[in-house]
Order: sequence, then structure tokens, then C-alpha cells
Amino acid sequence: MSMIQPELVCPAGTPASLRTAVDAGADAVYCGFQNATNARNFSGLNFTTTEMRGGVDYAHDKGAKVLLAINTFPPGGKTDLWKIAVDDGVRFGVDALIVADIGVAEYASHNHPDQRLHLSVQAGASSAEAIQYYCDSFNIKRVVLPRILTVKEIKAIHDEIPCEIEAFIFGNIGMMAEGRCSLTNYITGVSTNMDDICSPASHVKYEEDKARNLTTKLGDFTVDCFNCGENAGYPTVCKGRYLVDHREEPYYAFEEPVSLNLTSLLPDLMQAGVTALKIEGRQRSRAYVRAVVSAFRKAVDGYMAGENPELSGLLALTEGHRETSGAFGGKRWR
Amino acid sequence: MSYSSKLTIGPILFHWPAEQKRDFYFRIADEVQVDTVYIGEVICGKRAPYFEQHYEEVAERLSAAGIDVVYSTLSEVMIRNDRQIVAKMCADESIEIEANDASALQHLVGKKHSIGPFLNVYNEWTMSHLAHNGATHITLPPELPGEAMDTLGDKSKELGVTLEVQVYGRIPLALSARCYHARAHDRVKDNCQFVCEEDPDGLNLSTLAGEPFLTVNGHSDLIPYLPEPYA
Repeated sequence: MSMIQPELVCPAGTPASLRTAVDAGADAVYCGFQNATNARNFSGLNFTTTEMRGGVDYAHDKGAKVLLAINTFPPGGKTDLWKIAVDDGVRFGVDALIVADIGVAEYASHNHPDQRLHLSVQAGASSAEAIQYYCDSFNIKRVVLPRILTVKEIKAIHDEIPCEIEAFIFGNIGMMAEGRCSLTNYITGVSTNMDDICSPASHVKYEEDKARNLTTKLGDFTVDCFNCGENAGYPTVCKGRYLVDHREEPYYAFEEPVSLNLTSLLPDLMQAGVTALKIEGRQRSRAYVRAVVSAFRKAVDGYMAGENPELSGLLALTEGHRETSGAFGGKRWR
Repeated sequence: MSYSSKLTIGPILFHWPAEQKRDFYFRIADEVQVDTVYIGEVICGKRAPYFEQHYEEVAERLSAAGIDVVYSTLSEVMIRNDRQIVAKMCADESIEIEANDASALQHLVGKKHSIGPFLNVYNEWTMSHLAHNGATHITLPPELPGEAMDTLGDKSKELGVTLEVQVYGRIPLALSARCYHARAHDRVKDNCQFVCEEDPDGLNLSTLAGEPFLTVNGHSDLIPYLPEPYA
């Protein structure tokens, strides 16, 4: 079966990371403005309008695309910020807007009919019908699939929909359906969908007792506890350990602290019709971006040339040095 | 100015035996004064077939008591089975549907329908779009701030859409593809053996410090107890 050369889509949390990703071989970078309009609204991250304009110029000069994430859900009465983000993105010549909210998609497609739109993973479109709805309504050209489908299911969706598919291949793996999780809001009062943050650092606490056991907390809730020999992870609700009546020991009720790594499934994904491979991590360092993007550039080019590239080095870059192929590997993950 | 608000009962989120569910609805019909009852499985496509045989008698009994019946669709639609359940429900012209994901929207374009709390309606843009596609009633997400709700309230009058909010009961917080109920018993979704039926009010998780934390219900999580004002 022939494969189409996939687009390698890489994270650009800052202008410096954008340049690093482009130089390391990214076909496209994704980034967002420094406000609530994008789903990685961490302090010190993202782009001012001037930086966005500069970033687009830099990427375009080197033949790379810029995909602008405007993928949060504007609360009623506050749509102006999203309107400005969409208009600015179009004005700066970004190659696509990544949208999640039906209203933002409607605004963008109605006011900028020639602008290419991608459907964000935050829209949680996980079936052919759902994707078709967005395509019919807003002329969506590409869907970023939720990280909940097997490769076989992705292939089936590909055969039924009129747009391209982008899939995550490396990085953090959120356990909840994107765009449909209010856990952070429940615990911290900050909304992932509206304020654009999951497990914000401002609400994280590390407490050490006399025996040097480390408790990690998000808000007032204990998410995990580590003995001195253990590596303490960042307290994300869905990677914590909890108690339940019928089990004696605490257990990872949702998922263990692992990262997604689909290197071994790359050829399968490409054959399933995935035309864009996405690396997660806009909050990551430039060194990380350089290492991961270079490795995947080599891997994709290798596969396209019919080789079997060596990719074991990527494991060192995963969270807790542990990896999973998540839902992509088969139904037993669910 | 005051409005006369209607009272509704949302869909049962947990996996109860079909007869228990049926009898629960019969009791609602006989004993409770509400305007609308939502029936339909919203959490798990595997659970859905068990209650299908009872829809008609439950709907008839509720209607006879003067209660409107709305069929809620699945909140997460992924595999063929889920898709078929939603398609079948939406194809039935004789019933009123509450759409809980975009796949249901695709089936309902141009037909009168309701929008459920699992579909993200955060702003007036989204509301207008959905109203133009046939939505006449929208349940807003529980996390929507009051200020935004005011804006949506004004917009809804302009569009002729009625609004609904959850005022009592545990709040659904998250959906996932993985079944955490099965996971708690070292199983996966495909071989769950419907272990969720053992917990008619869900499975309570507490933190390592012993605080009540979340309730697991299949692949969804809920706040484990009633929020302060109602507790």
C-alpha cells in the first residue's frame, strides 16, 4: 500500500521554540496567542501579536506552515478576544486556524471563508458523523483525532470522512476526552475549557513529612504520595493514585504516569490515512523540542524511504521514562 | 419580572437493572410532579440495549401522567455500536431527542431537538448556530459562569430557545474512552462483565489522605457528593 508523505506537526510554545522546531525539520508548527484563546495558556508561553507575525514569516521563509490554535470555548459575552485572535491570525497569514468551539468555527468560516480551518482535538469529534457535521457546517479541512481510537478505527474513519486526519504520536496523554473535562475546575476553580489550563502550577503543592515522604497536591486534594526512593510526578488528577473500598492498596484509577509514544505504530498510522503526525508539548523546553522533532524527522523520512529507523532514544524523553501506545495500540487499553 | 420555570429529571447516569429502572420511572409517573423526564443511556453504549425494550412502556406511562419525555443520546460516540444506537434514536420521528454529542447533531440537522449538557454550549455564537440547525431547548454546561449565563439568557429569548441548568444532584465532570469501573476491577471495557451494575450510585474514590474525591461511573467521573448549599 502506498503512503502519502505525512506532515510533521510540532509544538511551538515560544518564538524560540518555533524557530527550533522549524530548524529541526518540522513541516508545520502549532502555536497560540498569549491569552485564553488557546489550550496551553501557561505563563511565559505563547505569542504576542508581534511575535506571531514574526513567527509566521520565519516559518514561511523556511517552507514550514504555522497552525494557530484558537481552541478554547469563549464564555458568553466574552467572544471579542476570540474574534480578535481569529482576525489577527488571518491577517498574519497563518496556514490554518485550529478551532474547537462551534461558535468560533462559525465566526471564522463565516467571516473568513477562504481561511483553512482544522478541528481541534478539544472538539472531541470521535466518530465519522461528528466529523462530518463539522466539515459540512464549517468546511473543516482536517480533524485532529482524540487520543481514544485504535489504528483500525482511525482507518475506518478515514474511509468515511471528507477531510484529512491529524493524530498525536508523542508526548503527554490526557486520559479524559478533550474538551469534556471539568476536573481541574472542580479542584482549583480554573476551567480547562475556558481558562485553558489543566492542573495549573499555581495550585500545585509539594509537602514533605519527617520520614521524607513527599505528598503532591492539586488544590486541597492529595493526588499522590511518594517514598524517598520514588520519583515524584507532577500532580495531574488523571495520573494520581487513589483509594477504593474493594482494593487494599492505592492504585492509578485513571492512568499511570506514562507518555504516549507511537514510534512503533508510525507506518501503520501512515497507512491508515493519517496525513499529519502531531507531537505534543508546547510547554516543553527548546532542547526537548529539538531532540523530539529531529528524531521524528529522521523516522518519517526513513519510513518513506522504505527503511526501518532506530528510535529507541525517544524513550528517554518520555514522562517518568515510561511509555504507552495508548488507545492506538488496541482495544485492551480502554 | 418572574418566569415560571419547569422542573425536569435528567437521565439516570448509572447502570441499574432494566426492571429497576423501569419501576423507578413508573414511580415518577405515579408520584412526582415534574414537567419533563429524560430517558436514554448517556454514558455507555454497552449498557444501552438492556433498557431498550422498556422505552415504550415507560414513555407511555410518563406521557399519560402529563410528563414530557425526551430521549437523551450517548455523550461519547466512538465505535460502531455507539453510532448505531444514536442513528436509530435520531431516526425515530415520533420521539423528542436531546443531542449529547456532534454525531447526534449530524442526524438532527433541520429537525426540532434539544441540546444536552455534554455538548459544549458556552456562548451566544454557538447557541445561534445550534438554534439555526433546529435546537429549541439547551441545557447549559454546569461550569458556565453566571455572567455568561446572563448573556446566553438574553440571546435565547431572541432566538426563541429555552434554557435549562442543573440545580441539584451530582455533577458529571469528565468523560473518557477508558472504563474506570472496569479498570478498578482489573478488567478493560471489552470484558467489563458490567461490573458497574454492582455500584448503583457509582464507585467512590478517595485520596490517599482519605478525603472523598470523585465517583467513577463507567468512563465518566462525577463529583462524589452534593455541593455545599444542597448537602
